Amino acid sequence: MKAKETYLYNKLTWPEMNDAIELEKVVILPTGSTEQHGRHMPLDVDLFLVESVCHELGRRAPDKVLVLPGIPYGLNMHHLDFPGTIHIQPEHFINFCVDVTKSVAYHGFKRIALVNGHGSNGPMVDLIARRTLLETPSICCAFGYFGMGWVEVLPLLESEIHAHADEFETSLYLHFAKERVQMDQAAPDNDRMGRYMTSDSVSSRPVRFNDFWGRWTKTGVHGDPTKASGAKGKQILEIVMKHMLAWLDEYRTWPIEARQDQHRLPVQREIRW
Amino acid sequence: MNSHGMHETGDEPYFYSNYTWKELREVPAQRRVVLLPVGSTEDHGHHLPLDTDNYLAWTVCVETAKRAPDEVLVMPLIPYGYNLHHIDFPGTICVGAEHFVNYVADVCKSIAYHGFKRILIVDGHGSNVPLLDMAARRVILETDALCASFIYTNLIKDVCRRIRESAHPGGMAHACELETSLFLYLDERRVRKAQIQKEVNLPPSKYIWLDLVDGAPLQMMDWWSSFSRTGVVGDPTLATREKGKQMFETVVERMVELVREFQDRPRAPRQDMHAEKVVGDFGLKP
Repeated sequence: MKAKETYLYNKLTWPEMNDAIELEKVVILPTGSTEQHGRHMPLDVDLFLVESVCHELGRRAPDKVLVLPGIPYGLNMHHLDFPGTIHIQPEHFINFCVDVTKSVAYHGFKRIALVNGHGSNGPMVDLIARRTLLETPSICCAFGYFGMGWVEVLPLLESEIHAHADEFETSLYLHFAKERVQMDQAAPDNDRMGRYMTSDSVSSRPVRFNDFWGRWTKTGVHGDPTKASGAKGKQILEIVMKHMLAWLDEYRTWPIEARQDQHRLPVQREIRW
Repeated sequence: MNSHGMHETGDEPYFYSNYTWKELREVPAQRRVVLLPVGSTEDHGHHLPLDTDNYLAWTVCVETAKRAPDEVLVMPLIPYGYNLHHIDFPGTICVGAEHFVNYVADVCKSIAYHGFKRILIVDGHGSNVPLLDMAARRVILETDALCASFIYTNLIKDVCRRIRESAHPGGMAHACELETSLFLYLDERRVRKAQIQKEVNLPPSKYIWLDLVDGAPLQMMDWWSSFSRTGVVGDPTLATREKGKQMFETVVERMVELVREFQDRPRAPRQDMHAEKVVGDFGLKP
């Protein structure tokens, strides 16, 4: 059956899609961006990496997932001083993506996930997943692929800061398409660090803060890509895959129970949110 | 390679996303026309996959770029469009009209921000047409770039009229002789040939029909499932590789011509015709 072997949503016809719905496949929406990634990597890093990771998951579990075409543009105004970066306003991004996930839910897919490849989309993919869950009978979750198995990835990395066009992203890119990385252009860079906050919100500081990148970097890098290697990228991918496959099995069997109304008197169901 | 078939080798000068930011800094001065392909994810009969609109719009842009590698810059494709009327067919993804226009306009405004002056939105999905028209108009009114949109089939109406065997008008609308011929020419193994069926089932009318090449005087779009059981409106049994080749080669040839004309198109500055100085725009929005 075509729907069982095919993991790319878009390659099926609509009658075959009926089979995919019956197979209760998990539908994955990769979200990326078109954004500067230092002097050593092209603008497509976020979209290319997140789609490559999701397609690899599809190749390893074709009977369990359908991967949608990735969203190629995300929230990025803070990078706009670097040529090429494309910015979508947050409410436009959320509205666009919620329409996509709601369409998927409409067809009867009960389990939907957003897999994010661009840090600044994070708060929005969270809201998109929540809105999809609250406004349809399906469940929907969101995560950055870079968070999968992070504790195991960390010891592989030599640098201390992990943020953008760094050792992590550059290693993965080297693994997938080394001919497109210009390692001779790679250079480390860091943001302005205080005790409670940094210009690019690294996780070691409690305050969230995202300044214009044009104020603190001339490279567009945050981290140390010179420590990257394709071998590390391969190891990272295996760790991410191990955890994504385990997550997939957990998500496929996650119970979708009936909600229970605990009110004593009838609620006002006619309220339109 | 990603889901749109991007990155065939990785060093093409005509893919926007291949550049680093430092390299891209030099590109606006090269006076390239930016091509933004827009498609949809939508049912296309029993015989064509959901990516038909995306695949055809993308391929048209890439082939244009290969023939004018120093004159265009192809953006990553927007893979979802306007099609709630198709939702009864499993798999169709619908983005609301306003949400779609806002998303496309943000992309084009970002392109204009970086200094590109000429943007062409290349559409592969009929129902996107009025919305991309709005998006392109907004880009002109809200930036200093020129932006235009068109569905690629507009460039080959004469060729289609000449070679079509489908009933005229109203026999060539969706997953039809035109789209199937193109698909057969470009990627034959993905066409489910045994599943090809004709269906033209709209009530006969002098004023209302659906046709990609010769549209009706009245525009009306009913729920697709109210007049099509297969998703097809047209006669894909008449499709051939040879027709697809003629259509495709002509589209690309004319796109190259269009790109050159659009880049060289003279543009005079706005002039304020008021006798008195205007006070302000009071937040007027396009």
